[in-house]
Amino acid sequence: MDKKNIKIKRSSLTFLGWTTVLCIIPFVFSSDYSRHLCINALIYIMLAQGLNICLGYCGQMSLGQAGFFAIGGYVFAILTTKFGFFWWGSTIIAVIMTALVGFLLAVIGMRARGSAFIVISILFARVVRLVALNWTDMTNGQAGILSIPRMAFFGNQLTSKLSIYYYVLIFVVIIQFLMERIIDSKIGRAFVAVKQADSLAASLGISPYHYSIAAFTIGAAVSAFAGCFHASFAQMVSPEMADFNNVMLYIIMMVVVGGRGTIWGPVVGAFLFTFLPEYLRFADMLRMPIFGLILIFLVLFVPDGFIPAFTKLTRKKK
Amino acid sequence: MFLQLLLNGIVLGSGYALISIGHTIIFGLMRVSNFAHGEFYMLGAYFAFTFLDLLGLPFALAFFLTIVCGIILGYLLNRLVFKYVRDDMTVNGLVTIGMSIFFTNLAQYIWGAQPKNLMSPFKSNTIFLGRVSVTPARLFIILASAVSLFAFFCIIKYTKLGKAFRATFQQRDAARLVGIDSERIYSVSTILGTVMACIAGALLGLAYSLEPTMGAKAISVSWAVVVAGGPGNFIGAITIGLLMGIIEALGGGYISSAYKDAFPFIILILVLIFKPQGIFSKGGSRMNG
Amino acid sequence: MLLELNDVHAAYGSTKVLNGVNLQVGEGSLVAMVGPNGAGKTTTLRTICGLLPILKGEIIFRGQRIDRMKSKDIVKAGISHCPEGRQIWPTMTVAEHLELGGYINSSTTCKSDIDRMYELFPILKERKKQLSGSLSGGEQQVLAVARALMSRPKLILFDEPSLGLSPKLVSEILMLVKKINAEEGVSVLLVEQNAKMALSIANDGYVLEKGFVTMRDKAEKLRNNDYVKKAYFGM
Repeated sequence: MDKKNIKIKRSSLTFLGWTTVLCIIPFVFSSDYSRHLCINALIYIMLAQGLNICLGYCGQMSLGQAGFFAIGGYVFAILTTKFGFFWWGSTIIAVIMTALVGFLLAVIGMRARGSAFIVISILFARVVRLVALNWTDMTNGQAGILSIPRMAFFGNQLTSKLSIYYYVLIFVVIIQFLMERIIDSKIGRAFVAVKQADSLAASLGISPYHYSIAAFTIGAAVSAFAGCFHASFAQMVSPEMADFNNVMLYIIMMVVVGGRGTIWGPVVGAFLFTFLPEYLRFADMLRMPIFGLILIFLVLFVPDGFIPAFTKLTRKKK
Repeated sequence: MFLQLLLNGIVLGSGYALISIGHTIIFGLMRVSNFAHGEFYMLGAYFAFTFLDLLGLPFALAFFLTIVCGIILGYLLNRLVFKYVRDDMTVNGLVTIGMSIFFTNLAQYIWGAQPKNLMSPFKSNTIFLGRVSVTPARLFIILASAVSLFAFFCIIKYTKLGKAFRATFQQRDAARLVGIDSERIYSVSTILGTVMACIAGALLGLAYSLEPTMGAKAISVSWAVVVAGGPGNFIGAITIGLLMGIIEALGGGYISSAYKDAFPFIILILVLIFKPQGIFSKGGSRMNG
Repeated sequence: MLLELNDVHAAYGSTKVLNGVNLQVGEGSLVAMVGPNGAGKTTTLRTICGLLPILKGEIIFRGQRIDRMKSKDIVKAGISHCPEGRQIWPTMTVAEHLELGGYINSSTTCKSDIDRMYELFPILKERKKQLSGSLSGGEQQVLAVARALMSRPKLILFDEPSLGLSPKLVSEILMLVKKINAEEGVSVLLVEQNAKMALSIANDGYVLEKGFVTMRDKAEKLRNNDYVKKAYFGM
């Protein structure tokens, strides 16, 4: 009983610690542009957690989260601009619709585990992008949908970056809390199994089939939620939201480099990979190739991600 | 119309078959989830572009040099990267994703983002076979692909190295126990796989335009083919590669041109729903990711 | 001493399997290694032929340390391994197996060796063009043995050659092993579940339990040992 209490205490402290850090960040990076990036990072945290649920809970790699991101964003955009539906209503409908799609995909795809599912998820995102590009009546094709309304807090339209940041943060914290609830107990086991057998396949046996489907659906819903926020913040959606190179790649790196299966890994990853490309701007044209190289090195030398590596280090010191 | 689309599909499918065979070797033998394979295809095309258009070399020489570049690329890849990350599919998947970003953007830096065309050495007159029209370039693509695949099979089936390759593929430990140097085999495999993709790039570059991002489509098709055909299954890779090309051409022509990229994929999903191990695999063993 | 294992320790990842194995195989002798499942018998053979690196200790073959050598070099030094479960290549023919068995030799040596194999094992000659996947269990085992012989080894390691075979075939295969040792002069290290039969053809015997050698004696003595009889002859 005592051990459990200590554990709860410790994890609550960690949670509080991280939340505090997140609250302070917009004052550390205080320029308007930096705050803009911070908000993007928050949105990406949500998106990355969508993948993290799949990876950490089901033990299944998915490369299609960008698809859910796009569907959520587009449905939200269409509802608010074309039908003038109110903000929260649109969000809820978007999330539910995307969750349904995610559910279907999971039911169909999870029977074919491993590589097959990964391929299905890739193709899913491509198809989403294709539809966004070509169903011009609804989606405006390449141009995307513009003039999407910003968030409002009890009727007051939010205009300052700072206020938007804190508004989004509320939901990020809620999601982080959800992650802790959903994942924490399973993660320990899943992670250990992955380590021992050294391949993703080993952890496939852990969750019963229907738990995996539920988890994947929740992941899709969370990614869609992120999509709605993105649509509202950037005030536009475009087919690039489902693009592998623009979105999915970053999500993968955030989750993996931050630490897959951990709750705060994607947080570190999201901020890292939102800011890193900016700091590489000086290299101009070579920025992206350098980025690729950095990724390769990070994966090779910190294969479990930063958070687990950090945890290992601090544990050793004790 | 049907025959015309069928022919176009075969041209496209030959390219897909070549790319996929390369991919299935790398994935099946060395268990490397190579997300950069599309970039090898792209680089093959750009190598050909450099030799053919930028340096103005004669076609045969340019083609030969492209293959040489492919060999060097494959060798370096194995030596510097794959050697260290074989078998762990999550890690090597991520590393190859990094490589994909690296190569795509490097290509953009070197050759620019504007679409390019390979200077075709073939006259652009169309030949008519019955009701079907085809350019000499496209005929060459089909022919050259067939020759490459034939060469590949001959190497695999009849040479000592090819047999050692197959042995390592089927039972790695037993192969090592007869004295086969598995490191060398892996090196050869990576080279073979890379060269196949490069050839595909150079060939399809004769019919389609080049862009630094052309690898994205290639890798998606390639993955679909490898998964549907079964990792390491050569016949599967070729047949399904061809099929993908044909379905894409037919779907694009009869149903919708805008969504033509989606057809092979939809077919794949249907395949995987009913037979998750892929069309050609024999056992009920799940594919491990 | 042809082969010596001195205090060999090995592990798979974090699971320690060998805890200080000491073993010797004399020139020309047939040594049997018996013991329960999971004792580390297969693991011992894998360390000898370079498939598993060792954590501690040394493996010496003909005066040379081989524990850090690559498998292909160990084969060239003269050790051959007939692995557990035979590990044949299903889509390759019998002839191709023998060809590959002689991989390290020149093609002329190989050709004459193959002919010899056909003499020694007429059943293989009958089936030479057949795909090995279509052979019966017993035939596959013979093929695996022939393949191991092709590299002209000084020492052959046999890992559970009787696995999955009917009792009649088991005695045939083990007689074959004895013949190879007696007539071809190849030293043998035999790992076997069937302890009774193994100890009846061997000169020396080792009992391996929990990763180290618990008993070691002339095979005849071990065969008559009460503990060995009780624990392992039921298998």
